[in-house]
Formats: sequence, C-alpha cells, structure tokens
Amino acid sequence: MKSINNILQVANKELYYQWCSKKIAILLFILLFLSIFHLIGLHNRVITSYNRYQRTEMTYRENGIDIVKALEQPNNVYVENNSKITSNPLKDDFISLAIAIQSLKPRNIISNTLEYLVFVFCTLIFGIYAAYVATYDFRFKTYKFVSVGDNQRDIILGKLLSVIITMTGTMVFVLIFTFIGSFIVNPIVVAKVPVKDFTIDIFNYEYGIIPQLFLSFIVILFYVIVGFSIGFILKSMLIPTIGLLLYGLFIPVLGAYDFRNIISYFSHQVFTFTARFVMFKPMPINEVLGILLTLATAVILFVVLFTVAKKRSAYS
Amino acid sequence: MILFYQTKEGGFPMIEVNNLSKSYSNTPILKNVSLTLNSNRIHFIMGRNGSGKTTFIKCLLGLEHYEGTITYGGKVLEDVRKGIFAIFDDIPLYNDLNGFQNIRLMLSDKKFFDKNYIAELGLLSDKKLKENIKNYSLGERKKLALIAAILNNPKYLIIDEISNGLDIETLETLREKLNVLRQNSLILATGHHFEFYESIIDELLVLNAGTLTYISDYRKGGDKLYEIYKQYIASGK
Repeated sequence: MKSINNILQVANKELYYQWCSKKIAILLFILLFLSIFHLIGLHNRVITSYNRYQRTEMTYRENGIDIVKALEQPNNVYVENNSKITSNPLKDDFISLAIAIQSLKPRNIISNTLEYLVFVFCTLIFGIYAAYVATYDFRFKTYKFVSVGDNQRDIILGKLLSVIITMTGTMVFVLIFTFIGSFIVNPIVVAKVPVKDFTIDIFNYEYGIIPQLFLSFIVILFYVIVGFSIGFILKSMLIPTIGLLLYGLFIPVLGAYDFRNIISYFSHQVFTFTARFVMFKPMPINEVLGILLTLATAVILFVVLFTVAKKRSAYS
Repeated sequence: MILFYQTKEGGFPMIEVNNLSKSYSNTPILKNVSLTLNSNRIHFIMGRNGSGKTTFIKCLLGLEHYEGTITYGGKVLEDVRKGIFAIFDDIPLYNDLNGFQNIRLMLSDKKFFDKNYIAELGLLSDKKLKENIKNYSLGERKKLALIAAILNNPKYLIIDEISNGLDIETLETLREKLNVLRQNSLILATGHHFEFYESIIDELLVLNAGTLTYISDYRKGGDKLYEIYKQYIASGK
C-alpha cells in the first residue's frame, strides 16, 4: 500500500513536470494536428472520389451505357503488376465514394482515426515520449535528488505510469476532438456531395470499438515500454528515438514474428482499414506464440531495466 | 514572523553508521567507518578533494551500494526517505521550469508549498521565482534549494559544499537559516569554506585516507577549523 502511494506520488510529480514544461501541450498539439489533417484528408477523399465518379459516369453516358444497370452489375477486382484492375469502373468508383462518405460519419470516425493514428504515428510519438520521460532527470542531473525521496522501483513505475496516463488522456482528448470534428466536416461534405445517393452499409466491425481501443492501447503501450526501457537503460533519448524511427519507417518487416507483423496480424482481426490508412497484409502467425513473444519481450526489458537500476549508481 | 511546519512524527532520530566501506574499482574510499550523528546538531565533515566526503553522503542517501549498515533512528533508509532532504553542490534543477515550479517538485508533500511563507522567508523575490531557472545564478539556485529545504522541514538535512560561490549577504542568510533548521533537523555538511562553518557547526568529523575521525569537543581546544585541518590532514596524520 505504501509503495502504491509512493508510485502515485511519483507519477503525480512527473505529470506536474510534464504539464508545466509544456511537454503534454506539445504532444497534444502534434496529435491534434494529425487529427485535423486526418479530417481534412477524409473530406478531400470524398471530394476526389465524387469527382472521379462523376467523370466515370459522364464517360458511361457518352458511350450510351445505362448507369443504373451498370451499378447493378458485379464488379470483379484483381491486382496485376501492382495495378488494380476492375471489371466495372463505375461501380468501383461508386463503392470508393460510398466508403469515403461512410468514413466521415461520426459512428466510424473513432475507428478510422485509430487506424490512422495508432499504427504509425502514436507508436513512434509515445515511444519517443516515453524515452524522454525516462531520461530527462539524467539530462538535468536531477535523478540523484529524485532518488533521495523514492527508491528506484517506485521512480521507474511512477514515471511509466505518468506516461500511460498522458498517453490515455491525450488519446481520449484527440478522439473526442475528432468525433466532434466529424460533426463539423460532415455538413461541409453534404453541401458539396449528394451523399444520400451513395449509401452502402459497408462497414462491418465484427468486434466493435472496444477491442479496437484495447488493441490500440496494447500496441502503443508496447512501444512505450520499449522506448522507456531502452532510454532508461542507456540514459539516452537519442538512441531509442533513432531506433524507433529506423524500425518503424525504414527497416522492412523481417519475418512472421517481427512485432510489426504480429501487430498487423491482430489489427486486421479488429480493424477494416477501409479509410485512409491501409495496414500491410500480414504473414500468418500462431496467435498464442505471437502474444507470448510480445509479452516475453516486455518482461525481458523490465528485468534488464530493474537490474540496471538496482546495480547502477543513482548519483548521476 | 517565520513559522515552522511541524513534522507528522515527533522526535529527531540519530544516524548510526557501522563498518561502512566503499570502494571504486578496487580502490577503497571509505574503510570500516563507524560513527553516530546526533539530532539537532550541525555536523561538518572536512577533508581533501577526493577524500570521500561526497561518497560518504552518497552512501547515507542510498545513492551508492556499500558494505556495512546505516540506520536512521533504528530504521532503514526506506522508512525515512520522505524525511531526508539533500542539497547537492551542483544544485540540480529543472531548467525548463520556473522557481516556484521547481520548489513544488522538491517538496516531499505538495501541501508544504506556501507562497506566503516563501515570501516571508525573503530569500528570493516573487518576480524572481516566476522566472525560468535558466536565468538563475549559482547563488540564486542555492537559495532556491534552501527555500525548498526549509519548506520540507526535513528530519535529516544533508548539504554538500553549499557555501561555494555565495556572496557575503547570502552566506549570512544561509548561516541564519541553517541555525533555524538545526532546531528540527540533524544536519550534515561538507565543504572547504571554514570561516563560514566555523560559527555554526556543533560536531566535527575529519575524513582522511578512508577513515572518518570524530573530533570531540573541538571547540574546547580553541583551535580554528583551518588549524585542525592542518593538524589532521595537511600534515598527513
């Protein structure tokens, strides 16, 4: 109980520092910027899709093809040499437009915002943020002062808890912001596009929003643990930042049990990726092995982290 | 009028050090040090640069591993952490925060934070405390740490070379505040500024060649700290 109180006290101080030093504001600004960018992107996608549909429809009319009949015909889509081939371009454009319209609906916006933010941006942003929180006391040389008042375990867990609270708080704020934003962008789209003519109930979230939120939380948490642990162990923010950027953006997926493939595998179980962000198709994995491997990595990082903290001088 | 916050628990326990040894890369810094530090006293450790004064402090604060035992009124460090306050020679502070915000982070409990009391202390102005720490001089940083120490009203106050780089007025304020803090705390100080410590210390410890020697009733002999330093350290005794 005493230890839990200590951890909460450390987390409280950490949050106070992160708030006063405007780090949370910077984080929120970045996420809100991405969220606005996403809303604008969804809006532009509807307009672009509508323009394309109109062009295709015009071509059909010029060639004397019955539009209603064409839309009733099946549409076979296949990929050849990285190009999408479609047997019914009008229906294909119709579906693309319907998807774009549906993506902007408030009931779908949380889901596709998670798709857009979590798998590329949030993993990197919160991984780097965790590395910052793990290391700023070393940078300011305040770690020795902090270590007088609390033991290493409570400091580490308090810091980590503060990152999780910040991560949860900012994500909830951004999702609410995007949700409200969709109520603003939707009427703008309705004014430009006859959305009622393009209604298909395409979205079918088998697992609902809760598993999506849960998976998003776990994925970001994993990167937070990685960034935090490596940052703390090496007393460096730069190394985990470069590592996360290289791993996230430049190094290709190394195999079925590469974490990115594991994440992609599970994300395809709960997300549709029909909006702006499309996650790569994963290689098949053994689900239990994938979960165990991820858990084992987190546990190993924790063991190394606490061992280093215990053995290392706190006077730094 | 300056009022002191009362600590939750009464009593001001002593520190007992038994057979404390500490080495770095097989080089012994402290060898079987055993001593008792008493309540409501200002203890001063003198020694050459690199003699192990800061190492002794690091061990007391649990910042380094060591051999031997250290107890605080019979308790282990873990039980008394919140009652310890340390002022380090480099005064580490958060450079991207202002003075008030740094003070809040240095308190063991945020309820100790009291702007009126800080103003009453008169160590740093309200305007200065609203400034970013980057604009603080070393003396101002030390004053800020002293404010936090006073607000915390710790049972144990450990200060490492605090007097270095301070002007006469600040030293006088520091002397006055340490005398007040002594009423509630066990204070341990290290430094080389003998004239400053001369008038405020109660107990003297000399650290030389890994051994900490307690000089009992050093004032009775009438010797000045510098003379004692020469006698025990400079002469190589």
